[in-house]
Amino acid sequence: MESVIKVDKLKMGYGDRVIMECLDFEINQGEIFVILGGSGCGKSTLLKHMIGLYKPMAGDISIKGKNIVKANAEKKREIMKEFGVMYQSGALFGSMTLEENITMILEEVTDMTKEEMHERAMEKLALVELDEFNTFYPAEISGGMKKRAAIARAMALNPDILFFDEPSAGLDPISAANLDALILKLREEFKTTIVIVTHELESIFSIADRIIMLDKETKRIIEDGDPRKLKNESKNEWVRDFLNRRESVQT
Amino acid sequence: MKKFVSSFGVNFIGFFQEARNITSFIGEIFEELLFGIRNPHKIKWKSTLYYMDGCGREATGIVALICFLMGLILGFQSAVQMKQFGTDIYVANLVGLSIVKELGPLMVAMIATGRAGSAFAAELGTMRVNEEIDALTTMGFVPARFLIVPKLLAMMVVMPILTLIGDLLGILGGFFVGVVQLKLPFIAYLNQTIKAIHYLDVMESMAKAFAFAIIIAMVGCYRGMNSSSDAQGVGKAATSSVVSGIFLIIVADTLMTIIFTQLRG
Ligand SMILES: Nc1ncnc2c1ncn2[C@@H]1O[C@H](COP(=O)(O)OP(=O)(O)OP(=O)(O)O)[C@@H](O)[C@H]1O
Ligand SMILES: [Mg+2]
Repeated sequence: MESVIKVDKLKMGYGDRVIMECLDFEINQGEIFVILGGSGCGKSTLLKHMIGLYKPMAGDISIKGKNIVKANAEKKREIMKEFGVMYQSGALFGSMTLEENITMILEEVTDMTKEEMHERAMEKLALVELDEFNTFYPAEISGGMKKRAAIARAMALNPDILFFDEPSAGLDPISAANLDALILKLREEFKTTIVIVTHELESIFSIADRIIMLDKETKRIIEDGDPRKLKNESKNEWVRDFLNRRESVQT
Repeated sequence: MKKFVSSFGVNFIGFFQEARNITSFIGEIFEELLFGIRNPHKIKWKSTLYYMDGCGREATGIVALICFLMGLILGFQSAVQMKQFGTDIYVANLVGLSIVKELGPLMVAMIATGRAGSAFAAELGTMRVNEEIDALTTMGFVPARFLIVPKLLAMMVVMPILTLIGDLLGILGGFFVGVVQLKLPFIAYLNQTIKAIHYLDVMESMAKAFAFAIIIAMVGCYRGMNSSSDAQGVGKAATSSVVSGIFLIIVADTLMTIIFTQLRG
């Protein structure tokens, strides 16, 4: 298997404050990779480093063999076309309808006709069951719908890699299960590599090929592997508690 | 004491970091502005028009009213003094020149700082909180090109026009006092005003308006882009955009007044 994302001795933080260090992992093509960890441990921060928004304190990150840390602005934009991102807060543009939120990307980076753009936007909205809401503004839809619209937008350019920050938080069980099915389908049909931050244990066990567990105390990855195995076999008691949704003495 | 010294040190370093950030921000915006001039089709004309409407047309009423009242106040105040010396007609010079060279551009800039500058900061700050600026970046947009250049261009067009309107209404305010209170003949006041104001004075007014436009847009956008990621952050960004905007406008006004006076000396 070919690795599409490579994180090498990454050290990250804000100002002088170190959030995580010594992060080393590779993500293979078509892998569904889940980043786990307690609230506030730095999952979103790690994701934003991987997509090139923040500069690491040390270390390197490459996407499809291209180093996103050392790239200049122009090159970075090229690399960014390889992936789609769904942000934790949705990040839809409030002044545009759901459809326009998708077509604006197509307008900027492709030379599709208006008709093609409309079709593409509707196709992506249909994947998340929002095609009837294409003319709605973000303020007019619910939180869970915003998440789904943001997922549709992340897929606008049919990217090879998708980053989802807590996609199923706030979704009802059926929507969440549909989302899991969608993720599996994307991997099946297009070999899309998907990096997800999520706390939904059920969804982790049904879709994740691999998880990494971040730890706030040691600021490192404390576990890396198949969640179904780690659930019972992890050497770390806290990880076992986390994956079995048990109370833990050590928090 | 130690704490004081160390906090002073931290502030000192912070100051230089901020100065560096501001410099690179200004550099980036001007780079994008040049890019826009070379590739005009890449400029977001639709949102430029939107901001011209919001910062220009919608501000016309308040600008006209405030400048008219300014002219009126100035007229009253100077009429009292001038009457003592029997030089009533010079109210026209005083009001005309003060408004055109100083108060017109300054009042318009103050209004625009409160309206447009704070709105820019709040808008961009909210976009930062909602991760919209991050989203724009990873979607392949250049945030400065997409978000800041239209605001800057709109202000550069709209501010001189607003100032011209403000100047005219300020003069009208003085005119009102001259004709109604001082009972000066209509034509005499008009002629005196035209005689008093040189076309270079009007140019000075426009130049100031243009410079203030750049300051207001840049400060508002800088504060918004650098707002911290919470609701208070947005509020603070809006407030500080007004405070530092007013401060910088006064500084720039002082410098420009000195320069223009020297040049024409
Ligand atoms: N913009 C920022 N500036 C400074 N510190 C930040 C910033 N964003 C996050 N942090 C800090 O970094 C740490 C990690 O935050 P992050 O958002 O990555 O956590 P998370 O694991 O995604 O949490 P959650 O599960 O709640 O989303 C937190 O302690 C937070 O205080
Ligand atoms: Mg998070």
